[in-house]
Amino acid sequence: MWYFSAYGAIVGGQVMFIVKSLRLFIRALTAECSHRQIAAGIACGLLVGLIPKGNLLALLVLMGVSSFSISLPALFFSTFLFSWLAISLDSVCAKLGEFVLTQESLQPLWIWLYSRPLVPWTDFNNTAVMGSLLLGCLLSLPAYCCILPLVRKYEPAITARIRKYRVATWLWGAEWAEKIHSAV
Amino acid sequence: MKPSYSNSHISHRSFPHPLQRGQGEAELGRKNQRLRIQEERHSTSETTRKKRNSFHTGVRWGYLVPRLTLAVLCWAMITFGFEPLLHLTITQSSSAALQTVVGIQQLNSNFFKTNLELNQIEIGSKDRPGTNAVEIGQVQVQLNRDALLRKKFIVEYADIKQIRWNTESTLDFKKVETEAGGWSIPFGEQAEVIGGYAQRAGQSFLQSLLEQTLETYDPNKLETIQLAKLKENYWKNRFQSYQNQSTQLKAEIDILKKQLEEAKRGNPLNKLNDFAQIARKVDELVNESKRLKTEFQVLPQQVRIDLMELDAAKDRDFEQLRKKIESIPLNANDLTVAIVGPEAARQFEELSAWIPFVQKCMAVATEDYQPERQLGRTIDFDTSDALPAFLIRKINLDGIANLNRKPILFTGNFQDITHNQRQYGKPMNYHFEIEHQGQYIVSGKWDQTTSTPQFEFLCHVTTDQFPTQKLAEHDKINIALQAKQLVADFHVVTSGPNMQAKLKWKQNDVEFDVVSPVQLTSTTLSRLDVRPFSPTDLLISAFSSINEIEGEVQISGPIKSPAIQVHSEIGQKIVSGLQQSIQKELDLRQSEAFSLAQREIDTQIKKFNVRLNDQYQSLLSELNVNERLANGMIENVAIRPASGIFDRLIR
Repeated sequence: MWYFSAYGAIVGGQVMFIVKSLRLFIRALTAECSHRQIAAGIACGLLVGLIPKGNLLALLVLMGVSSFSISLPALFFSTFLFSWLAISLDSVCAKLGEFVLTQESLQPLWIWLYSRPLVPWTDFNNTAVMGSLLLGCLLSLPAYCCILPLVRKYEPAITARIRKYRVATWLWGAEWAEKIHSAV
Repeated sequence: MKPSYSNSHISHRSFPHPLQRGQGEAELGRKNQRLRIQEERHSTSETTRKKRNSFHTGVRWGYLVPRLTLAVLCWAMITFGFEPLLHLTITQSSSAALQTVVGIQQLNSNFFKTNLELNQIEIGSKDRPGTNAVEIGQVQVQLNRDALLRKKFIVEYADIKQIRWNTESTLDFKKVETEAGGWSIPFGEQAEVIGGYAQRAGQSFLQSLLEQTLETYDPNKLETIQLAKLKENYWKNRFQSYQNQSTQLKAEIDILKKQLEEAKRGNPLNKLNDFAQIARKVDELVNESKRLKTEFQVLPQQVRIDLMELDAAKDRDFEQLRKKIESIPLNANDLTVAIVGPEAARQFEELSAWIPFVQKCMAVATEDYQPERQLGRTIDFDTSDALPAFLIRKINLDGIANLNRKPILFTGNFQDITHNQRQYGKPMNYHFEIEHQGQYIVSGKWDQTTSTPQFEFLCHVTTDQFPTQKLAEHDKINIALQAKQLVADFHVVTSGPNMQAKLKWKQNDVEFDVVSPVQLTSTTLSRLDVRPFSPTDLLISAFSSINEIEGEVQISGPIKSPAIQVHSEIGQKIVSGLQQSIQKELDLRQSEAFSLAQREIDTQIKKFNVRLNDQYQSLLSELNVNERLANGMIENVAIRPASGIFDRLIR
């Protein structure tokens, strides 16, 4: 009997650890961030969204901006949104990239970069990739400045509205975690 | 106790105000609501602040956990998701490239060692659902890691083992939509053209050989024989004429004798006129007899002239037959095509079957792979070395091919496969060795380093098993060929829309099977107990000297309508052998024929001489007798009356 009770305790402890971890992750992911973090997330999402995917540059930029203390949901939402918008900006990005990549003065830099390991995987030598990176960088700061007041104005109302939904409550994780904790 | 700001506390209590109920109740309610919201907000912000404080006091979990989780997910993706993703990518891309369903049972990879191992690959057949066009037991690929870091797929080596064709498939064939078409050199058509050409040439050769050359050798058609017959008839007629003349002469003499006897009975003086007439006729007979004698003396000379004419005819016959024999080489080309054509067609069919396979492999291997979403323009800043972005230095292959439902072991390799040969500067090479009733060595290259891409295909064949080939079928003669060893070299070069192909081969220990279903017709000579003349024997004799056949077929010009030329010494060789045989046969025949003709003529002449002598002698004796009789009659007619009258007159 003691064996089963010990086994139950061990299993219960493991389940609790997993549930707690999951709850922590979800709460952290959906935790309230400051307005600045949300605005930064959206601005960084613009940068990531504009860059064509399928290359190392998109992944590196995504990892880079994710490492900052910004709102990840805002980042992912913004990335998704601007990825669709980027299709219509391809020609502009390509022209911008063409201009930069064909500058004589920058050729040694590009050649040196291309000869570095892993750098060719970034596809920086593609005019669209380079153009979208530059355009994203250029637009990120103005986007942040524009988005921040909007976030300040509309975020509380939107958050309050969202929290009314059951999914949002579940994502918050409080109810389920407490129930499971008490049950275990 | 500090006042509680919980939601429940606020919601269950009404806000206390001096103005209880009455008119301002609604306004109080609204204020109450506003305050409730403010409280709630205040409570929420407080809670957040507390939580944030708790985050800030220890580890910043809110920041760390999601990012760590993402990092773990990336690691898990590389560790656990890389192989399934690669499996899916390879399966889908190869399906798209080959336009058929492709399945890989197992895929093992090492991300950091950049090697890849695929087991049990099935490539479905487009035409036969449920069957694999190709099944590969194992594929091992080793990529160059440094090159891969610089986005270059350099395969140092790849081993593709246990390749098998037409095996039972476990794949689902409903997935892939196939596209019809595909580029290939129409060698099948060329083979058919050569085959048809060879068949026609065989017919033509036999036709000309039998009808134009050999049939003219009919002894009945020889001028000598015809002239001998003419002369025989002439002399027969001439002797008959002499015979008739002699008979007529004798008859006339007999008539004269009777007339003379009658003239003696009466008064001689009264019969003087009759005697005179008889005497004149006798004179005429004597003259006629003398004329015949004179002619007879000339006859031997005329016979000699006729014999000389026969000799001249004999020479003319010789000359004519020689010309006929010399005209045979005109058919040597036909004979060459007839003999080498079927083998050329067979070789083309067998060897060219490899070309589409090789081309397909190369087309797949050297395809310029593009990203799925091609945006902008990719500028190449690669000045470090000459290595292209995609290169397979060497692929080793081995497996079992299927030829006529017989398994064939093969090994081979491809070298320097790249999508950009101009940058790499080297053409792609391939080499295969196949063991099947001999040895097949296939090699070549695909050169795209120049402005016009060139495809080269070489095949060396050594085989000791060779099917019997029908060279020519004619209603009078059929010829088949059986060889024990074949050595062939096939070389094809395509340059843009043009091609140059050469097929050379040598067949050793060849045997020709000549069969004639037709019985030969009897000739003059055959009626004279001379063995019958047989073109079959002649051909057998001509072919017997041939132990090997060498041939060459050249194809050049546009791929879709090339010009075909067949070269071989075999035609000339056989014709030469045939000429020798015919010459020998003719010599024999001529000696036989001429000896027979000579014998016939001699017999005829002998008969003629005998007859001439006999008839001449008899005629001559008859003529002599007649002449004597005539003279006697003349004496009777001339002397007796004169002597009697004059005697009596003198007395």
